[in-house]
Amino acid sequence: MLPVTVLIDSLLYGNLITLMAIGLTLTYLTLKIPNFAHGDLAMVGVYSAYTVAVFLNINPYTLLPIAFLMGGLSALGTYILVYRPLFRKGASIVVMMVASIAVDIVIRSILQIYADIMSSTFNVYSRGFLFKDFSLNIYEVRLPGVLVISSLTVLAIIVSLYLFLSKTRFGIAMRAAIENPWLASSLGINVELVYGISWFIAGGITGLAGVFLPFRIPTNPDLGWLMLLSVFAASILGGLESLFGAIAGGYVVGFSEILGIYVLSSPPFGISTAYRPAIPFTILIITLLLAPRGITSVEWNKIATRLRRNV
Amino acid sequence: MKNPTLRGIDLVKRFGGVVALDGVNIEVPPRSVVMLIGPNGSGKTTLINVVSGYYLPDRGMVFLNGREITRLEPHERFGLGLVRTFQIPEPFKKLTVLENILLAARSHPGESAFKVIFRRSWRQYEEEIIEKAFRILELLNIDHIWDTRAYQLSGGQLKLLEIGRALMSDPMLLLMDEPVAGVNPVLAHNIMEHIVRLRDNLGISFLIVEHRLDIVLDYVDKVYAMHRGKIIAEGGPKRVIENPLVAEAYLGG
Amino acid sequence: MFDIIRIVVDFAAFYAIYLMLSVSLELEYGETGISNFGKAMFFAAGAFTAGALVIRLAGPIAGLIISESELKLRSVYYSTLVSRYFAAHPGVALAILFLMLILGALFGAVLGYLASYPAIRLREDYLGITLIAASELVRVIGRNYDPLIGGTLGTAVPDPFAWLMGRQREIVVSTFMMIIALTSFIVTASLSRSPFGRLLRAVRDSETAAEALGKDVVKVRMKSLMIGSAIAGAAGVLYAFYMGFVHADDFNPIKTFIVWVMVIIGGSGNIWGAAIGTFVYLLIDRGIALVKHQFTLPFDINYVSYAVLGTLLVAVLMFRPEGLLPEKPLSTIPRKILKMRVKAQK
Ligand SMILES: Nc1ncnc2c1ncn2[C@@H]1O[C@H](COP(=O)(O)OP(=O)(O)OP(=O)(O)O)[C@@H](O)[C@H]1O
Ligand SMILES: [Mg+2]
Repeated sequence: MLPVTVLIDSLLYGNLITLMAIGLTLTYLTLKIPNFAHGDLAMVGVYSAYTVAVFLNINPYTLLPIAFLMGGLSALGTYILVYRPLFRKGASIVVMMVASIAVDIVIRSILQIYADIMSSTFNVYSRGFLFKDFSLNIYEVRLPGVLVISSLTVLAIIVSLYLFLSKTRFGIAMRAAIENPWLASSLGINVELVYGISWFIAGGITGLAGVFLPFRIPTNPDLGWLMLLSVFAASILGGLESLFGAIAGGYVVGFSEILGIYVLSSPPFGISTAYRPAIPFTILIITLLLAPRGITSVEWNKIATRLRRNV
Repeated sequence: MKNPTLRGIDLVKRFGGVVALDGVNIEVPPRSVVMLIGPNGSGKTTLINVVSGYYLPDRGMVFLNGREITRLEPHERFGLGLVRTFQIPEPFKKLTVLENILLAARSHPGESAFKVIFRRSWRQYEEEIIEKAFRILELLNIDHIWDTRAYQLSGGQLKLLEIGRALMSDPMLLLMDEPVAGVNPVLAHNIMEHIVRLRDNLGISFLIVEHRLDIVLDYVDKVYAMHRGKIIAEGGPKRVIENPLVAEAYLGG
Repeated sequence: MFDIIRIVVDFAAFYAIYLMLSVSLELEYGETGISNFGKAMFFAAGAFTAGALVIRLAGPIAGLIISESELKLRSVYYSTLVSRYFAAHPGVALAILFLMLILGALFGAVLGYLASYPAIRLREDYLGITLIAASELVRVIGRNYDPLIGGTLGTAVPDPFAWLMGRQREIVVSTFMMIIALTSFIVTASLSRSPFGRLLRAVRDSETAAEALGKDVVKVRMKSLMIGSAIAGAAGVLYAFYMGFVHADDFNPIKTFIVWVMVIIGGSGNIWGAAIGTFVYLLIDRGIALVKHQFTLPFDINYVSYAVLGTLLVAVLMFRPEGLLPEKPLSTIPRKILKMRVKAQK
């Protein structure tokens, strides 16, 4: 029997990966480049929330808006300063990817310097910190507060993204700009503005995800980078171009990682939990080699007819 | 009877709802120049792509000298003597005109990662193909730009480069997708004359897609006309052009 | 204050290692167009080879009994004993050194062969993600699978030049490394100027056209990755010996990134660009390393150098994407001769 805590952890991790994968997919939809600096946006979120929480001594949950804002602004900043100019110059995908790795290194270095200054100058514990949480007791099951709040956040994000993209004029313009930029701009939609807003929203959602991390995982500036593999696995599993796919992918990866390593680390396997990154990697490789455009693109009908014909 | 150089049987290719090839049968006899005409979007380029191995047909088969090649990779077909050019030129952009041509040379020992170490094993071949490349460049009237990189060429020059690479490759069957579009008429006639010479002297066969009937028609042995993925007429140039179906296809679109 | 010879000798050693890495990326990306974001993994292949094998191989030769269970904790001790044996037996030491170079290159090539499986099937963005992820996985394995290179503790590597002393040793070591690096540079440069290099560039510029002209694009990319990875593997062996220690975390994606910085700043598509780019990078990096002890800052100055490099790279991509030395047309026959030939015709 699986302990309830393993299921709770899976759902929680699924929430985090899903939030980050929604953000990654949203940016991929605009410029069609995989952003290697994406994980760092979560770290920008968590470090800004942590800073305020420490100095004002308030509950981190109340700082979610700040994390959203800082994550969003950082994403928007990199879009305006780096990706948009390169895109305008017609840079190749590889060049854009190299640039995003450079951005990752710059953001992470700045965060490291920030963490150094926090601890050396202000005596604040800045690496490996954790947030204190509350918990709810429902029918004998102790639900950690972060599970409740992050689940509500995911729900709220999905509902508001859905309403925004399908019911508001701006959201519809945004979808048009993403699906067919040339057509959209000939209809008078400012495509670059739309992309900028997509980046802001994507960074904001990822920044939110960051705040939930220190409730379970000791947090340091490299954590976003380390989680990026899982986030990429989730987005690619979801087809990289579908927000719905990113959500599905997020939970598949979240659950496979936590459940998978729980099973593999207990007898009879007894494998070290340190090999956990192998799980999202395997998901990534299998997806790319079998269904490179993700689960949502698999043409089940075609496969069925082919099978029938071969019998 | 001798096998035809190329034979396509009942070729079908769909793109989603579009049926680009709808049961095409085509034959290119040995030592012949065959022309393929048809209005825009009738499926000519798709046929070239299927025959040269860039698309797998949904149905049908392709034979080269009686051997089935439907599923071979493009480079394997090149090895059997089937060479193609592209309607929209596909140059090696950062390489010079001369290098572009040299790359079409067949089985260059210097292109093997192992043999290349022994300079002597490929040096002479390299010199020979450079000589040959310059002769082709002269024929095409682009020898003066041998040292220019392909991304700096004009559209017409790129078309000539496509032809140059094809001529360099010692083909047995050459598929040319609109070779003289955008080339000046005098040069276009020279090229067609050269093609006829290659047919007569070396026995090479050609399948040429071209809209410029005025220039090409005089040189060809046989014409196929396509419309909406189907062959609607075939035979001698005169007969096909005078076929009312063909005129209708061009006018009706 | 500064020991100039020491600085130069140390610079030369690092230059040799990074030159090999940047030359290998130049071959893969600059010439063939493969976006190898997993360079650290192929580098690690060589370093792990030396880290895992030298003590185990040379120990018994030196008459030591190496206990597998104690190897992790006592690698420094064993390594010192093996070095002491090397000091008395230069022939054995050099034989082991060359054996390791060959094995490192071989493992690199095998890994390159494995990596070429996705490399020929995936779009470049997916390939980038896959290789970077694979490289992190190799690091995770190196850090957690103790028998390989001592897990989190890392492993010491004996000194194959222990038969020399002091200054003399330093100079010989660096010279040896430079000779290996220059050999790979010259081999790669002449490949680049040969019909084979022309073939690589053709595949880079248009796979479609290359296929039409009978080139087996899949095989070409595979060969390029195997050659590049063999060079990177050999560089890893040199690195392991030079540092005298191997730790998995050293082979993180920043190493990969640094090599990309070198190739892009120098100018991809031009092998001299790799040489210049490596030099520029090391000048900045070693410069910062030299001055960093001079003053105390409330943070680790290495992060400043990473941030500067990242910014520099973005600036180069934006304002001089062709790098310091842009790609130039190459020719198997000197261009002067060809030009004369054309003139003679007229
Ligand atoms: N890769 C593709 N994907 C989807 N549709 C395609 C593709 N290639 C061709 N088509 C469609 O197939 C049909 C035939 O196109 P094809 O390019 O073969 O015509 P064509 O006779 O060469 O025309 P043109 O004279 O303009 O070159 C067209 O309707 C075209 O839109
Ligand atoms: Mg066409």
